[in-house]
Amino acid sequence: MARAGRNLFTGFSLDAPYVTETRRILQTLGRRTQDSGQRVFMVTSAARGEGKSTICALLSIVAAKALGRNTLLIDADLRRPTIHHLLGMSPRPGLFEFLEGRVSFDTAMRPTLLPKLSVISSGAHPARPGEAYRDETFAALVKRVRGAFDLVFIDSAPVVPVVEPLLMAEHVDGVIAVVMAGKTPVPLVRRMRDILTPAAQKLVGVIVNNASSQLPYYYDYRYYGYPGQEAHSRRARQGPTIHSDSHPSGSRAYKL
Amino acid sequence: MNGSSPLDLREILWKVRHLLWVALLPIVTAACAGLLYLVITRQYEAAATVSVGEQTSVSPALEPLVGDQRGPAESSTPTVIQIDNRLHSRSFLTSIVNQLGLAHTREIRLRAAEEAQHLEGVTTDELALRRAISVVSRRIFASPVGPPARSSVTLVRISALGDDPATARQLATTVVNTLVQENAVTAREQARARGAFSADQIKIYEEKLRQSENALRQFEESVIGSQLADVPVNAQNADLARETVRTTDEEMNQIRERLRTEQLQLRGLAGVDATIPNLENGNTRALEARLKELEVNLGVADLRGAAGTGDISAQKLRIGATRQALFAAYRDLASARGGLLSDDARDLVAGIALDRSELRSLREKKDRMNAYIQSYSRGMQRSPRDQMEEQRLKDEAQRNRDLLTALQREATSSHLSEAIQESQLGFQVEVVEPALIPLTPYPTQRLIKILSSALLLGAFLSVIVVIGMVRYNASLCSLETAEEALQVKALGAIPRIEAWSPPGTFLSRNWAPVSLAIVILATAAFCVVNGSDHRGPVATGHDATTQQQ
Repeated sequence: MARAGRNLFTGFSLDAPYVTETRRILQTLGRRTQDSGQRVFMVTSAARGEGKSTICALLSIVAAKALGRNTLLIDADLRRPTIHHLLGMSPRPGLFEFLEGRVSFDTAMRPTLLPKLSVISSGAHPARPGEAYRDETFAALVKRVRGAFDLVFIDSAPVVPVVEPLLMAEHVDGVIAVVMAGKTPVPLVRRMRDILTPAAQKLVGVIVNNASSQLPYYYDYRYYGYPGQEAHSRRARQGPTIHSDSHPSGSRAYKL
Repeated sequence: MNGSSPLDLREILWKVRHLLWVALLPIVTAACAGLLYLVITRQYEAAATVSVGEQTSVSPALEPLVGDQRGPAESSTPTVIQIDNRLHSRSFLTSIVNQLGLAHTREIRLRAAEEAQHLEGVTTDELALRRAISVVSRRIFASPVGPPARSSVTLVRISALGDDPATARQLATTVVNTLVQENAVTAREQARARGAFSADQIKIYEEKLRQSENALRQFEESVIGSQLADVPVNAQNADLARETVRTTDEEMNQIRERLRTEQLQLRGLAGVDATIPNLENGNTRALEARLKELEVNLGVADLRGAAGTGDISAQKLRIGATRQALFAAYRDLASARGGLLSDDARDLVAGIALDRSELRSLREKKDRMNAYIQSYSRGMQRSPRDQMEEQRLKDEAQRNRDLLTALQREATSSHLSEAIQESQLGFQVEVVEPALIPLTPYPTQRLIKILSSALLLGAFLSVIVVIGMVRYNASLCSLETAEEALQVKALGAIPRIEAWSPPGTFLSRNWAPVSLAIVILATAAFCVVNGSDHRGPVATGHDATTQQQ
């Protein structure tokens, strides 16, 4: 979904349809987890290319900017990391280095354009991703961030081809599944459900991606004459709209 | 909600819009396949136009004779279909194949020889002929030119396909010429058959006419009534009878005048009080009866039209002899009963008795003639039933007379038609426009036929593909499906970020339009390459002149 050179901050608008829908999802998620006190959510999917990283990043950005929550975004997909692209930052140092014990938590966690959003990117691409995951270290990480942030979103690898998401699910508070409308086969979704059976009680919900293209017409904002779409598209063509006066890792001028 | 959900037109349109490229793919692919087929199996079409005249019909008077033998479908069958059926008849195709020697081409002979090895009782020559007929049958067509004509002449376009322009033109020309020649032969045979038929019928209807006229005459005679001594009662004889009555009256007046004169003379000779004795006996009565019969017979003889013949003269001589005998009888009676009368007075008395006898015989003759005239008048006022019968007989005689006349005219006409066909002065099928060498290998009608068929097939496949993709799509297409598969509630549905490229690779997203483009480009490239290799002949002035010749 993402394209090199373009990140989610580019053309970001609270009026954009996907942002509005993300806010609605956060609202729903907050209502469901209000009593249980769940804060750490793992976002996964059945297979790759279903938009889980984008949705995970969107949830984090919108939670930080629109809801004012102190949010942490962790890129736990060591095989195909994407979060750093979506946020327009370098991948290192990140989770891999932290799991290996090369860097500290404070070094791995980096700030973003948004003051209430922090990121632990994937880090260097490991030669053997399967061996790079340290369950105890990851559990300790989750335990640490649970008390430090209002919301933590972990972008994991897909469930069906890789085993790490199932291991991570043991330590998170909730699992959010992402499927892509018009692409993800129903049997594959059922297979994901079967794999997640040990953590079935942690499955809090499913988010359907690419709704406007494949779902019925009433899921398309254009059907309702969405008011913010034209402005959003215009801004998207004009360039970034999230700025910061200073950015720790970038040379560009940002303004919050 | 239980039960089936209502049909949502917006949802259907939404899906059609999303599957537009997929729906277009079979249609465009089928159309391109049709184009490729046209290019690969390119055929030239040469066409000639012929005018087809109305079939020769029999005279209107003969319609009752031949009307039942014609089926109603024959007259209503369009001319073009008749021509097309004729072109595709086995005899016609055999003639074409034999003329062009198509059964002896190397390719057909080889294939026929191969087939003959597997078939018993069928020779190679027969199989070759059948194969050649089948090939020719698929390559010749008849189609109307313009809208249906109101006149009796219909223009028909006869076209022929060939692998090269010369073959197409040769086939078209051969077909048209054969059609014209066979039509002339057929017309000549029909004319001969009509002539033979007319000759047979003329004999029959001559006999019928004679019988009907005899029946009419006999009926008239029977209806008019009594015949007088074998004298037919008709208008002519009635007139003769009237003339006889008139002359009889004149003769009777003369006799009456003579009687008065004789009576005056007798008073002068025998005194005023002289009485005329009764001069009757058996002999005189017999002679008087004889005289009456002779007078009546004389009148009848006049009616027979025997005037001036020996019969009348003999009759008059007999009357004269009878009168002489009667006078002699009266003279003898007068001598015997006259008493004191002188000889002259006795002669006068006998003459008076004779004149009275003649008056009575003439009156008898007159009565018979009047009776004849009255019988004729009564016949003229006969009953309506008789009139109807007479009219029927007259109509039948007239109809037979008309038919006989028509048959005689038909016989003459058939001889004329045969003579025209023999001299080739006129055809029912004439070549209006001869076949020219075709310039392009894509006949319009074939192009339209193949492309329309391809488009129809493509549309059909398109519908099947779209329905199949909608009905048997295994991917998630609704929140409800996702919830059911994961057994959790949906948090929401996030639309695509418009400014970003859609998910998936370019090919996975655009396989349908890319396939369309490939199909179109490949078809265009193939058409261009093959089109340049097989260009049709360019018409030159020399070609045009040759074709016109």
